[in-house]
Amino acid sequence: MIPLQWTVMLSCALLAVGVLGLLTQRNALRVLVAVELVLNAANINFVAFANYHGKSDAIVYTFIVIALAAAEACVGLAILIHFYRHGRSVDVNKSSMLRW
Amino acid sequence: MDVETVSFAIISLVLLASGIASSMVKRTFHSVMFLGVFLVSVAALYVLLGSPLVGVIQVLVYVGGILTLFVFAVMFVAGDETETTEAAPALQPRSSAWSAVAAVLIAAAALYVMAMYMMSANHAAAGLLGGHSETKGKTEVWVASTLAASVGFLAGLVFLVVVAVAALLAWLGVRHTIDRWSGSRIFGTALAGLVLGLLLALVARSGAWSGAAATDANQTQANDLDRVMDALFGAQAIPLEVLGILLTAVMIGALVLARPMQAPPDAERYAQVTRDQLRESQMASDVALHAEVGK
Repeated sequence: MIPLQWTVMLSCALLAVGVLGLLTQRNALRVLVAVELVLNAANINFVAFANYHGKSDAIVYTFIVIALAAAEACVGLAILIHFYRHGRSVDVNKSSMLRW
Repeated sequence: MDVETVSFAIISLVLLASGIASSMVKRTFHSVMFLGVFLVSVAALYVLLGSPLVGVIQVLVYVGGILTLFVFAVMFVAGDETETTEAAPALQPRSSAWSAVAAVLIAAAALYVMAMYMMSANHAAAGLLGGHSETKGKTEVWVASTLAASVGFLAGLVFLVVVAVAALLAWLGVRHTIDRWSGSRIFGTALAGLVLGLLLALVARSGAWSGAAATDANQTQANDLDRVMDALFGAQAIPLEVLGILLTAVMIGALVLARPMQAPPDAERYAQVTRDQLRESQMASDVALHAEVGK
């Protein structure tokens, strides 16, 4: 069996990779890709702890997080395409429409 | 080294490499393709951890649905600005080092919380999910908590040292050196990797986890389809309902967002056509009228 600490350490490393991408990307599409990395890092923990404790509830929460990620990608990409239509750009630094 | 360990090592390497590559590659489409590699590897990891059902759902929903959505989005917004050029790099160079520090701090905080949880679950037998009734002496609890706290302390210390060094260099007037260092994305990534590797090594050696691993019985129990469905429609029914409401809201929101804001580009042409037709018909009737009058 895989020791629990390995899985947790892997998911922490993936979380760091995702957050790094989230903070440094300029392209809105790539920011969304980084968000997917972060969500998957969280899901790995859910699965690991579900198998460790023998509880099915965490498996259910994995499904919920996957559905949540689908919803997030859906709205995120809709906003992205809207943003692109509006300004012909997907650079998040140029998104100043709602800035006062 | 058994098969599971080797597979875990390979999957970890692929996950880390594709995750980093998805933020580092030049073209957005390649970034999305690396996301695909990442998602399939995560599914493989689920199977390895003993949850093939989650792996299947992952491939179906993520790779089949979300990745397709991303590819379509790349197709829609493809243009000069999605490709990164030398003039407009994908990363913000100035802040990449600070972003790396922030990313590592967040990961360290997550690791710290989970180490604390493991301690409470193992030693106090009062975990959130329940399960373990393995009690040990109070001294060990204290030692383990101290180790977990030291992880968080080390993270803060590293952050302070980085800030102090940066401030010192700025005070010494080597501003351009800092700019050049923090300007390279290699520096930021290397810094993040170094600090995170230190933290992970410390936690791995801390003994807070005491070699905890899933047992066969627990794996079978957690992934039994009857139990999963019982949890889904029983104990976790309210989150499921909330998710249903959320998905409805998301669907309506996406529809509203996807609707064209102004009239379609063809509208003007159609209006022109009808106006021309109207004028022609008017002219025709005028001609007819003149013909009538002429008679």
